[in-house]
Amino acid sequence: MVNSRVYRKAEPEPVDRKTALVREEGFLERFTGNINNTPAIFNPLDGKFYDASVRNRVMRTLDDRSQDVKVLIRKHAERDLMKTYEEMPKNPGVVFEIWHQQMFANRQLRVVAAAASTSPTEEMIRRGSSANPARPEDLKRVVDLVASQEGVFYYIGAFSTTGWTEPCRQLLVGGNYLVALSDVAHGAWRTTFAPDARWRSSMRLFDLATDEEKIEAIRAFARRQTFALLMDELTEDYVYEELGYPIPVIREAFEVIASEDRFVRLETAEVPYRLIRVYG
Amino acid sequence: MTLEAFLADRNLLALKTNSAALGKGLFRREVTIPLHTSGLVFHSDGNLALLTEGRKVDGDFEIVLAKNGTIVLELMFPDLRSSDSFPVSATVRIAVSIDTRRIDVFKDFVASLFTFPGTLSTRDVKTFLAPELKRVLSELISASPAEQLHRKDLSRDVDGRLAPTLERLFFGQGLRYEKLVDSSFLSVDFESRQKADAQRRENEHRLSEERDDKERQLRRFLGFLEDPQVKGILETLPDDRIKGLILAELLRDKNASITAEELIRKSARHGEEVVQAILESLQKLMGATPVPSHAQVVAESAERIFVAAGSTVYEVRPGEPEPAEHRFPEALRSVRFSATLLGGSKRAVYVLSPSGQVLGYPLPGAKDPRGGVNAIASGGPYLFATHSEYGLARWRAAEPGAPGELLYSDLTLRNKTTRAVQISGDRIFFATGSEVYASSLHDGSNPVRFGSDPPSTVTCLVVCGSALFAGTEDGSIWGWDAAEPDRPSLVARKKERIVTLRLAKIGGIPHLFYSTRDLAVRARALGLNLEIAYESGGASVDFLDAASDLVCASDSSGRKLLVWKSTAPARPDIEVDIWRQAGKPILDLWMKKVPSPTS
Amino acid sequence: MLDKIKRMFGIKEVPDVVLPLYRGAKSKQEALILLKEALRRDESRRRRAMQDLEVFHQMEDELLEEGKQEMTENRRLMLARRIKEIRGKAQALNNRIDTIYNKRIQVFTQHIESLQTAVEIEAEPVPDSKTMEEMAIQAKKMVEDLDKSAELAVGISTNPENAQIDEEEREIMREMERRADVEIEKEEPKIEKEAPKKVQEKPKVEPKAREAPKKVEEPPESEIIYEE
Repeated sequence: MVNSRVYRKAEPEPVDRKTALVREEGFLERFTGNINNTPAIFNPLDGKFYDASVRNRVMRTLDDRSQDVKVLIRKHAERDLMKTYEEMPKNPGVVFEIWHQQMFANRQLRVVAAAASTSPTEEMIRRGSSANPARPEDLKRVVDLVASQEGVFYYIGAFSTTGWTEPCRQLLVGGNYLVALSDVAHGAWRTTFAPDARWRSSMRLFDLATDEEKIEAIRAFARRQTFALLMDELTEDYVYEELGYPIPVIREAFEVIASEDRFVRLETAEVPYRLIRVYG
Repeated sequence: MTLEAFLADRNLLALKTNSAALGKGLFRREVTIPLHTSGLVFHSDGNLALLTEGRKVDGDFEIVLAKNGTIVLELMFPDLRSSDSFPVSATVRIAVSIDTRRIDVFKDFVASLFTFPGTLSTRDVKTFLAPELKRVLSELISASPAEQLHRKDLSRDVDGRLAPTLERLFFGQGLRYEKLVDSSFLSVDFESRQKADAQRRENEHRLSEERDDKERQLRRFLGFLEDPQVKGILETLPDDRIKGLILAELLRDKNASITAEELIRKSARHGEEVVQAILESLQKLMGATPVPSHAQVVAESAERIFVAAGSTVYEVRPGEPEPAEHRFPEALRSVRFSATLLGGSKRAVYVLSPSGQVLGYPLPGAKDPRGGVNAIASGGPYLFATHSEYGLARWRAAEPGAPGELLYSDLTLRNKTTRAVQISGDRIFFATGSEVYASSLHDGSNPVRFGSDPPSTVTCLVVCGSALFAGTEDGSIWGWDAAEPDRPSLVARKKERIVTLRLAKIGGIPHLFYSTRDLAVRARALGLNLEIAYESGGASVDFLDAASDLVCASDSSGRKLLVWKSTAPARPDIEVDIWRQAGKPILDLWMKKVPSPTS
Repeated sequence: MLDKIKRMFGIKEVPDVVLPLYRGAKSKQEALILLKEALRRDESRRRRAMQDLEVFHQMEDELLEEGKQEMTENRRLMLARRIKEIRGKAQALNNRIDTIYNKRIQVFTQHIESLQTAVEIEAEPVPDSKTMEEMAIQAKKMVEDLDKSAELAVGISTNPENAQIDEEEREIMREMERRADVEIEKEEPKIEKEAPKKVQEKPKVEPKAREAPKKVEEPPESEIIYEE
């Protein structure tokens, strides 16, 4: 069957300040939670795992980019400056340095797991919202801010409150760093990883949603995809493209959906699995 | 500074210290954040923490403790100016607080306002606030007159301006503007002015009431004069002095009623003293205009009238149809008679001696002036003249031909006009610019200045005994008592310049005659608000002179001489066409008077 | 049972739609229950199918609008094919609704109404529970069998897409153009010719005769200039 599916360009929804702030805070909170649940982190430079417990871990905040926000607020806002500042996302960043104590030597920095958020600050100040996704230069700025030392490997989570443009996906790999690109799509946390063997289990650091949240996100997504369902196009591949979740999680969600709705059936006759409409 | 001292001092808002200064015990430095404060802790490993009251912190750290809650600051700005330039003092009390709710904002406070060790006080915050606060208040105050500011409640307006300004100022500084507690504006100068104005209004009201009261009395007096019964009785009385006596008695007694028997009974005194008594009573009713005493303004009759037209002086005698002519070497600007006929030309004063010889007294220097001598006076051995382009000149009468000497050049040179020299008693009077000066005739001592307010160029002058009067360009007539040169009184104010002033006694009452180039010569009874208008019949009048029996004036075109009987002001009695004879306009006239037989 | 039904409705043959239900029912009450259950299920299916039809129509409109604005031929062709596919599915669904659900619902409704009346009138005693249970199981099996048959009857064959443009696709593309043309016509403003205005002639104004100037007497000459 020739696929006549037409990929329509989706207009991005504007994200207001408060929503952006909530997303940014949620991102850092989840990332920090993931760090706390990670006993060790792999260093691809020397092929070793390093203890990531509190004892060997130092947390720092990145250079305060909230000053830039204040400068822009002062420039563009006429009144309610503090209120605007409180509502605005402030592009925070946090760095977890994993230090290693060697015998007869000083502690050395080995691996860094960092996360930073970015938002279209100026437009959010002036208009209260923005639909502009972050661009490659925004990503580069984050990477340059974090990956500052040779001999140290950096896992960088870059989050944009308004999404990323497509070219950003080409900049996720470096000599001593890997970038996980995160945003919110269809109301769900989404992270894109470049296929690179160095990731290993470190992907979990930037896996922002629990399995339950993923399943719920897939269910919510499927509820909005009636047309795709009717056209037999609500496949696990489609959901993966949109949400970035692993296929097993998607299949599990599909089973749940099919069990709950008698007009939906999970078709497993061929791969990719899909949900289809039935009237029986 | 100990923590306790910091907490106890209400003027201190924040404290910078460290774990070493605060800690207790040898090995453990643990601190509890005190009540009503918040602490921003800088750990030695570079981490930052915001701790609220009651929380504990240990280890090595630097800490900034800030007091929570609202601080009220009072600032005063004494040197602001309202739109009408009154100094205004503004006092504002505002409530602010240190924003310790967020770690990044608290950090801003430390980075921008609290950049020094030790403590931050209310004074430091005031110093930070003051320039911007002053700017805002200055804008507000300079846009309004003092009346709208002084002791007015402008809280809403002030808050409306302060709130956005301080919000912007505080943003990024870690402070928060809470509200305007109160504000006040005070202008001492304006208050004084208000009081003075109120006092003035009260005085004016009182004076107005007094004037009304006097007017009522005067109307009553005039009513008496109009009363047919009074008129009838007065007409039967042969003696004017008796009439005056009766009227004086009537004036003194407000409640008096009139009967024929009373009139006759009251006729006990004689003489002009009665009239003077009436006059003085009336003057007391009307106010304090300086008035020459009776003895100084004498009743005089007009003997001759001299008219200067071209280089000829025409002598007009009442009753004679044709005027006599006296020729002078050149065109005359002024004419006087004092024992002899005097004429003032462009550059000299001429004296016509009884033998008919014309003696010349030239002005010094080789100027070619535009104008001429505008007044001449003779006193003692001297001749005096005023000329606007020269000043005040003096000659010895016995030395004709010798150039004159300029007197008081320091006074006259700085003014465009010098006019109206005349002699009264042993003093010489002249006007230069807006001032009148009097000096001794003999010793040349420093002249006494008679000034007016507001000043205006003097155009004419008349002096009689203890009083002098000056007319000005702006139409004012000022009077002084000669002994009080600093107390001018405004006699009258007209719309046009005063051309000529003269004094003469009409009906026993001194009158001040003046002309303003309108259609009449006016005579104001001194001390009274009563005027007689000698109507020209359509021509505007210029120069004038007056005696008790006749009044004369030239018309503004300088063609005719108009003469009235003093008792018949409705129209001129005589009109003499000088132009027909002279072919030149009248530039001056002078009446030679002789004492009246009744004086 | 069947005989009773035939007699009751006055018909010779019972419709296939309800035949299995009646065969499985031991009594009218049981039949009524089975009929109502079958009606409810079919109404639910029809409702869902109509909602899905609405989704098809909405998507079709959106794609037509998009096609109207598209400039490239390829893109418009893709959209046309997509719309054709949507229409095909919508048409199938429409047929399903018409040929299956609407008909069955109509029959069920008729039989329910009549049977309802009969049951109320006769008030026959209810069969024992065992009988009813057996009837229910049979009815359910029959209903399932019936559904499968219906699906087999209605099945739509999907032929491979022809790479060439067919007439329907061409028509859809023409429809896109017509929509675009209508929009353009609506936007052109009407320009009306304005009637030429008459130019008013200015009224003639005759110059007024000038009055002879009055003689003004000149002031007399003076050799001395007055002070100001």
